[in-house]
Amino acid sequence: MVQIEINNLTKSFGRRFTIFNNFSLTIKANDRVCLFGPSGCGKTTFLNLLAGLSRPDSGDILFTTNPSNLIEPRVGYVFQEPRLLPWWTIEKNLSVVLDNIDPKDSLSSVRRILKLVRLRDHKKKYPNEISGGEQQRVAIARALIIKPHILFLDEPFSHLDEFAAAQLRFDLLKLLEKVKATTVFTTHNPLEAIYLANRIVVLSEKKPTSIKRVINTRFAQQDKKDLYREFIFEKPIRRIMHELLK
Amino acid sequence: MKITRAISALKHLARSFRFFPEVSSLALLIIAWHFVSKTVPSFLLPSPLSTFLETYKTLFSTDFLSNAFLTLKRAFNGFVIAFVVAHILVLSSIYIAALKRFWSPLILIGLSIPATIGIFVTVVMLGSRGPIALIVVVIILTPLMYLMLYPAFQNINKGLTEMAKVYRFRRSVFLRYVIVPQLAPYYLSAIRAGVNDSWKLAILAEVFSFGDGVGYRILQYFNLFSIRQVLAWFISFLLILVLIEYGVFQNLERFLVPKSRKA
Repeated sequence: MVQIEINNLTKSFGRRFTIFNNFSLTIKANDRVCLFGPSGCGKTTFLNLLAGLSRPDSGDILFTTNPSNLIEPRVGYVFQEPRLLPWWTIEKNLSVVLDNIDPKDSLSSVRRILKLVRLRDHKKKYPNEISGGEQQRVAIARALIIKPHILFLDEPFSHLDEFAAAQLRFDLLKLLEKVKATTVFTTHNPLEAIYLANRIVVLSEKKPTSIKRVINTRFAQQDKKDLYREFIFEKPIRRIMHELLK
Repeated sequence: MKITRAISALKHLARSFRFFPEVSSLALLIIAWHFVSKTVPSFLLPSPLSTFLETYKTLFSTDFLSNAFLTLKRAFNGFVIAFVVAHILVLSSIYIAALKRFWSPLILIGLSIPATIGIFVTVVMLGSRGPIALIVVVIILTPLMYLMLYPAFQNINKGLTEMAKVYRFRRSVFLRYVIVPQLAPYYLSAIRAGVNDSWKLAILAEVFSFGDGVGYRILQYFNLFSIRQVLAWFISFLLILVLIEYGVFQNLERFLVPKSRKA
């Protein structure tokens, strides 16, 4: 149960280009927040700042528990591309991140997570022997296997075709319901944002980036699934797609 | 019909004998050597059989072993120094862009120095009994090592490094699982090329400078016009290098370069 507090965050690239100026946002524990905005508005930069991959020029990023204690959270990060180690098997790609956390039960954890993401038969394969969608599934499994306090997903389906992306969205939502983690993800796909998030933070196009508005999308998952299907597909295509995905 | 039968027999041999292609290419070379040696006087090109008998004698003589040890020692020391210096240059170039520009004209000059010029200059400066081979190997090899190792560090995948940082890999795990597999192919090529060049350079330097070493002994036999001895010494030394290739490099490659990378 980790809350993220971002206070007066400022980040510039060089002297002229300031992407965030005194940017503040609070992401509550177990919330699923989507950062929604056009390309180049700083979504990835923002996630990288939260994940500690780059440093802000000024401002604070605090991870707090309830009651309010500062912690260094376990972070799972699904990047735009899978970023798997191509010279190791899928099994090794997953067990390697458990090195710090759970050395004894590593193998059983790997088996369990592979079953969850429906890749049990692929554990001995190398990343180049499976499809792009399956690779992204492994990346999601890698983020979840560490039992993260916080999960970051940076446009995780942007490199996939719509069939693979649609299937993965269904699966990811199921997994997110099981894993109790504060989740922040980015997308420029409105349906994906509505489908996966509880709260959508719409970012401005103007620089420095600011919050345009925050939309609450916390309603029943079944409604979301129906809405998603209605939006994406015309009836006949939807029927075929539904058959295909069954 | 006969040709088809011969081809199918060859295919069968290739299937049943793992090293057939390698052995057949060597056999072809020896056959060609045999026929050429029949057409010229034996003092110009001795037959393969007599050369191999001489090689066998040479290989187990203390004279050869002590001289081969000296040559290998010079080549190895030169290679190690060149390797270390190249690393200093590469790492400083990666971290400080201005240093890359500072080193680049020196690297270019180093690459264009012919080995013989390097040897002559060093002999003139240090005298023929100085550490000529060592210095020549270092001067000629360092720029080459730099050129081979620089891309290894430049092409380290930033995305994987970020992934390792997010998942808090321990330093040893990060090196073993992320960095070493990326560097290994470059390192293997650099070490192979470095070792091969260093012994050639060491032998050449010995020809011009020393009173010992394989190069010097080959020069002595050449002056005596004993081509059989020249070839025997050369083949004996070559066998040691083949032993290093199969005993060290191939095992190192198997250990360092994972399966998927080789595929």
